[in-house]
Amino acid sequence: MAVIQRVVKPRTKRGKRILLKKEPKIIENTKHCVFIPGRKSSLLVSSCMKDLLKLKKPDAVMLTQKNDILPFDDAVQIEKLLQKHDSSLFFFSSHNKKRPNNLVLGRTYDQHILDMFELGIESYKGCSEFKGLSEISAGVKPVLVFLGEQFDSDQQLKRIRNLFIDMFQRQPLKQIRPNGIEHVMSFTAVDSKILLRSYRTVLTKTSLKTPRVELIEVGPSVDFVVRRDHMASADLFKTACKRPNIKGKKIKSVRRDNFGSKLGRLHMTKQDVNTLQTRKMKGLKKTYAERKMKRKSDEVKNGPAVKKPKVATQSKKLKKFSKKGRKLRGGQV
Amino acid sequence: MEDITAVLNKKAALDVSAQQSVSVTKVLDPEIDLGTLLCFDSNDFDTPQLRSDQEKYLTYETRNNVQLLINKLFELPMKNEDGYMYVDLPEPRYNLPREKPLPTPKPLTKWQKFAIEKGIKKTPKPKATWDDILQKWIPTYGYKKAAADKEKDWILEVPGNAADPNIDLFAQKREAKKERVAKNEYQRLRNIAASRKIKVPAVGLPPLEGTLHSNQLKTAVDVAKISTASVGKFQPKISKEVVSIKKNIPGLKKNKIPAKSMKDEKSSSLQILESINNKKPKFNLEKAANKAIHAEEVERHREKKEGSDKKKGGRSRSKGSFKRPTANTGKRLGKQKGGRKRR
Repeated sequence: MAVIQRVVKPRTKRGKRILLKKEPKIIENTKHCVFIPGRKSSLLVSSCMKDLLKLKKPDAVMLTQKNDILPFDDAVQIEKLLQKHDSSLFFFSSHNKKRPNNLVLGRTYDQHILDMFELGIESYKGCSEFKGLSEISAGVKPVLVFLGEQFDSDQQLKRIRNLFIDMFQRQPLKQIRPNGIEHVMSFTAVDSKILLRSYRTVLTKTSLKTPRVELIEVGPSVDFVVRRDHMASADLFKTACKRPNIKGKKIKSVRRDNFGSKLGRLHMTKQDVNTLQTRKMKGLKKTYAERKMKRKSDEVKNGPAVKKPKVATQSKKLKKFSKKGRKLRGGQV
Repeated sequence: MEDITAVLNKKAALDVSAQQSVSVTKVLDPEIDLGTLLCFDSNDFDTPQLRSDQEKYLTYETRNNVQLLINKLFELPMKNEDGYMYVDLPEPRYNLPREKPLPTPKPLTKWQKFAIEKGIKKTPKPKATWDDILQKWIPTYGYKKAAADKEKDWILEVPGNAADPNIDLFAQKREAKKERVAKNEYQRLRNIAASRKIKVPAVGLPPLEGTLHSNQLKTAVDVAKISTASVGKFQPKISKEVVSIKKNIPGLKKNKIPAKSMKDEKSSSLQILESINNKKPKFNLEKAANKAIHAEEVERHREKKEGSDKKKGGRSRSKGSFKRPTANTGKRLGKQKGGRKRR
């Protein structure tokens, strides 16, 4: 029998490690982003992509080649590209007559497109027109501010907000240095536009514990209009948002003391003191009358006690003897 | 005394001004998620201000929100480690979709299921064992084990129950190993298919890729032949077709072997038992003695003949070496003296 073509099985330890890294985990890796330039792009869109890449680094890669992809017609190619880079977020830039300065941002779940939004760039001011982006240390978690009640009322904008948070929040943190908050991104929904602004914070000391915040714009500053969209169904979105049970089941009544020894608390039923066997003494022995009384009370409670018929045992014995007897009868004695 | 009150007053005034600089008032309290550092402000915009100076207004609003967030952040208990002040962030409340679905427990293989059912436990194998022949530690698996096997198995014993003693045992061993690897691979793939709930075709169907073995082709022909409504009853014979071995076709009913007589059954089972017991090379004393005697006799015979030849001298042709003359083959027969034949 010839060996059938192998189903991906790592041949080296290194290959195994790489595959293991890509496997689903309870606590996931940081989501990575791929910046995909489309078939044709304008200077404005490409420079905007570059600025966004600066905000997203180091969890992002920019592809250098142009890609002849139409995300809203055929998303499979994008899914493949993301799978290749083991990432789940993407920016796609394109520019044509019908949709000039087009930016598509989206994300995948389980290697399939979850959400995708097409944003047109209305106006743009790059990082080069401001100062101070370089002063923000790399990989710092930004504060995300969403202004406007449309983000709550409009279903589409609500989802876009979710996507923006997913895109720019970086990895979730357990601890933070409050003085280390350096970067602020604000998204404003106004007049069917989304305004993206990015600031650097300046914390000035006050006589109180909390400092005063001042903001300096560092760019990019972009005004988006929402064009086409592709949103996951509520059902799929819900399954995608499922959270793992990290803590597990709570263990009750067991604790450890300072020395590390395990202490348990047992819950018992109430002990019946009346039936407790104490020291046996002749004087405390129950009399015949007392025992009879007790038996009678038990009978009232449980019905008359059933006695075993003695006949059954007798017949058994008889049978045994009869066997022997027959033998004797048959033989010559 | 006056100084102290002055200082206190000054401090109070400073605090008030600081409080003013830090505090922010809004109609609706913005939603703040400290776990993700988020701030959702759903207050209405001051439209005239937004229209007149958009950038300034946006910065102002954002600053206010960030100030609120930072105020909350500084309320958290501060901790100190190596001179760095930090706070523990609460669990993020804002729910974001995952990148990949939650990991599921790995499906058990067929063997694992069976082992659990039967309560078979894996006994750990030692990493290396001492080899008495090679006088060194040989690992249980790996390239060193393979090398040791190669070194050790330069000779193989022909088992007593071998059907053909002249068979190449090395080739047989190699073939057996290949078969085992292939079987393991097949089982691995079957387990993968079962875990992914893919239906696997019956064993008889040949794989779609790679060159096929002639046996695979034969079974394919067999399977195709019986795949009619009448189970191949009216199928014509193909020219040069080898009589099909129908027992190889999976799913086909096998003919029952007719019951043997008691005597036959006994002898056959005894034969099996003997072949099992007799894996060591058999030493037939009688046969060996006969062989030795024969060899001795042959030797004696040859010696005798050689001795007689020497005594006689001259030309003599032994019976065995007599050959018929062959014409025009260019070979000279018998003992011929050199030179041309003179007439």
